[in-house]
Amino acid sequence: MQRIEGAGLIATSFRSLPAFGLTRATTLAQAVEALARYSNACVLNGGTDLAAKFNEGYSPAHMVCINAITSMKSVALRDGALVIGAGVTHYDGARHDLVRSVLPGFAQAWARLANVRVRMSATIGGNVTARRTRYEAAILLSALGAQLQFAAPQGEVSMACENIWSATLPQGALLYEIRIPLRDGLALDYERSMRPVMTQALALDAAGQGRLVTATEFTRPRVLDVQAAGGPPVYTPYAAGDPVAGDRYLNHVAQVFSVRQFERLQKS
Amino acid sequence: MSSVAITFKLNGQTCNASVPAHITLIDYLRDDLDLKGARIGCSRGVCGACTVLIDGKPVAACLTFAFQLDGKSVETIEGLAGNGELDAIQQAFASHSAFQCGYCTSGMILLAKAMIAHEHKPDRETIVDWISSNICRCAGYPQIVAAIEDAVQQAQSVKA
Repeated sequence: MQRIEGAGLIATSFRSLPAFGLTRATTLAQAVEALARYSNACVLNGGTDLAAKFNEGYSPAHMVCINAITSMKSVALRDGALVIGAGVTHYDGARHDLVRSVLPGFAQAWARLANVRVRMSATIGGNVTARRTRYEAAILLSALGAQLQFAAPQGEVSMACENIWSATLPQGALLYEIRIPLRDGLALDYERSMRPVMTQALALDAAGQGRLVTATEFTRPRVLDVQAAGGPPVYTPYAAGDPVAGDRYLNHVAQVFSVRQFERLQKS
Repeated sequence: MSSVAITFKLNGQTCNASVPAHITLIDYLRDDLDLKGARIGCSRGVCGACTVLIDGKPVAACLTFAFQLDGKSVETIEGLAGNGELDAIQQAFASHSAFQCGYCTSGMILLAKAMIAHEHKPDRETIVDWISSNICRCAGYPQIVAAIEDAVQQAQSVKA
């Protein structure tokens, strides 16, 4: 609760938001330039996360609105990769013909994030860069070996999706697209029936090479490189330290799921 | 304080305004435009009581800044009834008593309107999926789903 003069006691979620400067970028270059100029700037795209952060006390001096940058809203095949603009919403991306034809398991998993109202506004780029462990796009993309492409004043920055949790990005860096390298037979299965306790993504290619990503609500996803040519991937327990799941239970469920997920991928 | 000149359509009427950048859409609608149909619930985009349609898509007005209306068309619950007659979805809600306290109702009705526009022949599962975006604290979901099924049937018969 907070006391506001003239209004008495009100919940913090009902307080007025702090004022900030605004840049409405229409090109990637404009956005990067503005982010470099204002060191304490936030980025507004879908907005489903940002206003909630304001209500948690976040108070940037400047906002760069990027949702008019049309180049960040496309999906394409390029150089053997599925390239998804960071501004693609969950709703549009999961229904995109290219995504559904090239990686149907990913399209199905993507379509289950959040609810319809959120899916229509929230973007895949915002989901990843929010760096919230309960958000799921980074789990799926890490399993698929996705690369994140940032535009920055000093030039391009590329990183593996799983590094988003620990990376320090250059001032002004803006995620503009996500590249999923399409190896032969690459397919994904996502198990989220135990959410929010845990979720798990398994991606395998035709040679049985792939990744198993185990995630919980409160801890960073664990990415495990796996080989599953002759049978289910060998699951290696880890110390997640999650206060809800508990390591013993989490690892047991994750191991059981990994077998089921392997079997589902074999059938598909 | 940064102010932004915006032009938008509000329930079909073109509007020009200057809004502070940090004002949320829900505050702008309720405090500046005196449109109280969109309700303030959680202020975190979870409950959906503040749902309005922007270019036909349901959005949480508590998570949207007023300046984002620029160049867009916004529809609130006040824009549904024309010439004193209820919209078909509103009428279906009334016929099925699909509200108790009524706090979620405007958001639910606008969500249903968006669903009917976006989905081809939505079945019960699709309706439940869409409606799960918003929360009815009175748990009147059976009546809400029944009302929307009714509205969907009416919309289908109009299309046919």
